[in-house]
Amino acid sequence: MVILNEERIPNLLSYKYFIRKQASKIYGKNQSKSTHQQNVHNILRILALNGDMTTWEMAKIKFATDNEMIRTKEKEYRRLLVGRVDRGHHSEGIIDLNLVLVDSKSTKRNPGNRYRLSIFGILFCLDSLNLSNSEIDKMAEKHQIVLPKIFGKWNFLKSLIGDNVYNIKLLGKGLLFDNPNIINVENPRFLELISYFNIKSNYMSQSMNEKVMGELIAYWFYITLLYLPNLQKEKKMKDTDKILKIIFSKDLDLQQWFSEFISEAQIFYKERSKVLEGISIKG
Amino acid sequence: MTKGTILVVDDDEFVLDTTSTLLEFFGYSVIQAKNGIEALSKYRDKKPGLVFLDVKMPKMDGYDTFFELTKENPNAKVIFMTAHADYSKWEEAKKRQALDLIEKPYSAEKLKKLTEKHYPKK
Repeated sequence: MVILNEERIPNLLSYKYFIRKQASKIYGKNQSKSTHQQNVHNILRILALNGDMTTWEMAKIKFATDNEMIRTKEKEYRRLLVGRVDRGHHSEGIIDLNLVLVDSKSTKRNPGNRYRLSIFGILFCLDSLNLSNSEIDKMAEKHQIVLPKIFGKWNFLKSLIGDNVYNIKLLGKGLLFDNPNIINVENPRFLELISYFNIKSNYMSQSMNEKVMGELIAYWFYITLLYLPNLQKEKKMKDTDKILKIIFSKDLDLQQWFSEFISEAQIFYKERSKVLEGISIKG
Repeated sequence: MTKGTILVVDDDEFVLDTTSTLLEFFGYSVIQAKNGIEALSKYRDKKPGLVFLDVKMPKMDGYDTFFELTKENPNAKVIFMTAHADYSKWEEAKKRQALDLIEKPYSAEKLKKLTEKHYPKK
């Protein structure tokens, strides 16, 4: 059972410039990882592919029936998740970095916390675990509640836009949303929408919880469909909106939701334009 | 299986990250360096097929990095990037077979075309 975290969480900029960087620094990204880093990656991969679990269930994946080994592994996993206290010093666990959270309490025979990837944990896994497409499919299936407009529509999206769905990996890197000026973006519609998206996500920082963040990431995902697929194709689509039209013509709820976002952006830019019209610097 | 390895060298972390991400998106594996000295060491270690090298960097600028690099590897394939239109040693670099010099910000399309044009064919 997945329960969305209603508490306030950091914003996307915090993910991009703090959480992702810290996690990459502490847990490593490349192949030369320490044993500790490999263990953390193992936990993240288990949660990515299986959804919410107790540490016992996580340990059982490796040692199906050997209870002694399961118990040892379970303790190790719990230590990695919640950190540890040595001589009064608390060393941070994966939870402290906002990658994993306690989802609920298990009500089975041995009650314990059920852990799952947070929304930032999902992004970080997409960035750093080098997941195959089929693993991303599994991850999508297990995290539909966290990202309902992306993972909740995964098979539908795949049937319409194929492998373009896997561009979601780039969101894990925080690509483009706050600094599209770093590269020359030749699609003006993409540029305006992603710029508005950045403004909107900053406005919403105060009310950010997992549900709101899930909505924002969905906007980000669909906006980047205006740009990234064309970047990969040899034969460019002249109608850059085509890929969105394909999706939204078949899902009217999504269409309505994204149309509202576009309307909001249009109103925002009109109002900003009016502000500038009022400037007079001639004496 | 990637299309090959590219070294990206830039002291601006955001440019370094964005350029690397796009190159990965195009199917290459990327190694990063934040200055010329680190770039020389990583080139020796990994022998990338192509290098994107920022011109203006602390410690050792892009041109001097290139001249050092080509002493050991005369066939190194290097594309310069500049945000300051710094062409001061470009002619000298061109004589030593530097491939191109592009101004920042560049488009992802341009990055892709240049990479496909210059990455050594197997």
